[in-house]
Amino acid sequence: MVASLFLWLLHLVHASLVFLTTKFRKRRYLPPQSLTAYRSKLPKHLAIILVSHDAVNPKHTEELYMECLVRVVKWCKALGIEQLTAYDAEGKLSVGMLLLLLTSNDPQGRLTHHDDLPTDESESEVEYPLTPPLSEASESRSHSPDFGDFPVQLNVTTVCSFKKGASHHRSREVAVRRRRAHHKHSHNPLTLHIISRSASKAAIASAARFLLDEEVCRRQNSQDLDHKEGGLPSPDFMILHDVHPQDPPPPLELHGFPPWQMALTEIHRTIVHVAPNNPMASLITEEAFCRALDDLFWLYNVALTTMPGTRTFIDASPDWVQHVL
Amino acid sequence: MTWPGILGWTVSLLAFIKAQLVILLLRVLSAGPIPRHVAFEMDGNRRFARLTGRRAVDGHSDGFHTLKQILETCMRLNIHCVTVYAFAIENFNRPPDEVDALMKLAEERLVEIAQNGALLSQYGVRLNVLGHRKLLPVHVQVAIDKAEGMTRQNNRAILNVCAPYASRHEMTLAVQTVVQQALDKENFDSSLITEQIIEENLMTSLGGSPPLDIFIRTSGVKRLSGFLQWQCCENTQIHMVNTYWPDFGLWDFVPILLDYQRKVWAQSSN
Repeated sequence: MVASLFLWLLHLVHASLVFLTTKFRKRRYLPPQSLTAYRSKLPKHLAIILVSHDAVNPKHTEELYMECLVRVVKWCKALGIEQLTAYDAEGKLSVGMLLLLLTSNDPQGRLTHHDDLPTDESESEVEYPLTPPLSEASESRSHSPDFGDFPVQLNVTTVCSFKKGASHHRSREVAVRRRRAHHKHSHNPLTLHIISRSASKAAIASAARFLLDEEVCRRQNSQDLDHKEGGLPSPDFMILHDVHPQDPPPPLELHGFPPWQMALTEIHRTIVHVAPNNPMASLITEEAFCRALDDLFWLYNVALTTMPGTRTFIDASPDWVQHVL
Repeated sequence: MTWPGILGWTVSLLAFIKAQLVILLLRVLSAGPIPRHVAFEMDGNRRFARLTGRRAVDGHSDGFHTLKQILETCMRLNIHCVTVYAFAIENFNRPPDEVDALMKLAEERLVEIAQNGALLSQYGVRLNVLGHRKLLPVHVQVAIDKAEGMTRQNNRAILNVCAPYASRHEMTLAVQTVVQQALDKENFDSSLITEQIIEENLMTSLGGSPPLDIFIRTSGVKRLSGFLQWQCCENTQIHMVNTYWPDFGLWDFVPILLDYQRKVWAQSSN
């Protein structure tokens, strides 16, 4: 009883300290660099995890997720980030994406027509291939072109954008990624992966079932799981955004993001600088996105300076960080 | 009494008072929910050593000292399972003298903490060394077998030392084990292979570890770096603290525990 009382006091003191620290940080808040500011390092593959602690209004949560995704897609295309993985545990994004693409009168949908996008699209119209239907639990279809008829339920919905009339495999130039000023009117191709928890541990279980089936069919069972990674490559950088933020935010959790792909992914969580009950707090802002990129740049530079000679960074290649502990 | 004597007496008294206050604090914390399983990615030993102008090897020695302190703290709190990332498979790429020093440290210290009267024996902790052991030098493998044998009968708590370890290797091994078991039993119904079955065949689960509640990485790095990816991707609170591992102590650990308690209370009220 006495111990419980002291514990309650300890929590009170801790909560007060956290409150004061948060207020102090907000007072010292410095805005991040703008989206179009020069950044020497950008992720080649960005992942965004969208979470919500509000189970009362799922429809509203789905709308928030979609709006966040639309924004992040726009920013990624402006920056030339080549791949974006969007994850939410419940699969709201997958449903929302399908409805959006199937019901929109414009086949390009909201993902290319946004208020802030440039009006001059003659050079950079994008086309989306027909999105395959969402895979049901009983189906076994990977959406990755690398897999063909590979019957493993990876549950990854992939949407590729490419220039109208141009080859689907657009070659990237290093100079494009290193240009000093990002033109807001750029329409860089973007591969978008939509995943949910079904692409996480369940996908590994599906790979295991496949291995057993294959062995039963008298094939080798010693294949490395890397061959089964399928349509979801490992992201370089991950941003976690809560559409119903709390103040102070609870500790970071990964909400079932595919474990296989997370080995070397830098993890960042958006910081909200408005009151949690402010409607603006729900949507990921350009400022929060830019802060995440600035954080990534800082982490990269800190890593380089603190451990000279013992880290291996591939600086010239878009695959920018490997094998560091 | 001379002044040095008085000073020494005072220092001893202060140390005693501090120790008692720590014990009191841990008892207060124990009045609330305690995590079942905590993992530590002990990063920053080498940078810590460089800060004081010493060799990287000295940092690892400091890190081991911190490990003992944190482990004792966890045992006093009745945390059932502690997992630490001691050596990654990729770490074999480090300078040979550092790798040799780490192997020597592992060989000596594992046996040291496992023998009678030492930390693991004092708290009834069973030692499991998880990873691709065949990559280790034979003398280290022998020391590991010896240390594990000394603690095999302990059943109050578990210490998992991951060395040399990589999460993808662990997941791959679990899948291969599950498939091989099905083949051995001639049970060819693949629908029976679920994520639960795979989870049960992870190294941590095979050693009796409960689900992971808290994952802590020190030194400010914000990656998992191949540590417990399956175990921490769901229902695990992840803390990336800026403190270097040798400096990690109650000042960092207590807020983490308080966060965990708030989560459990919030879940209970929901």
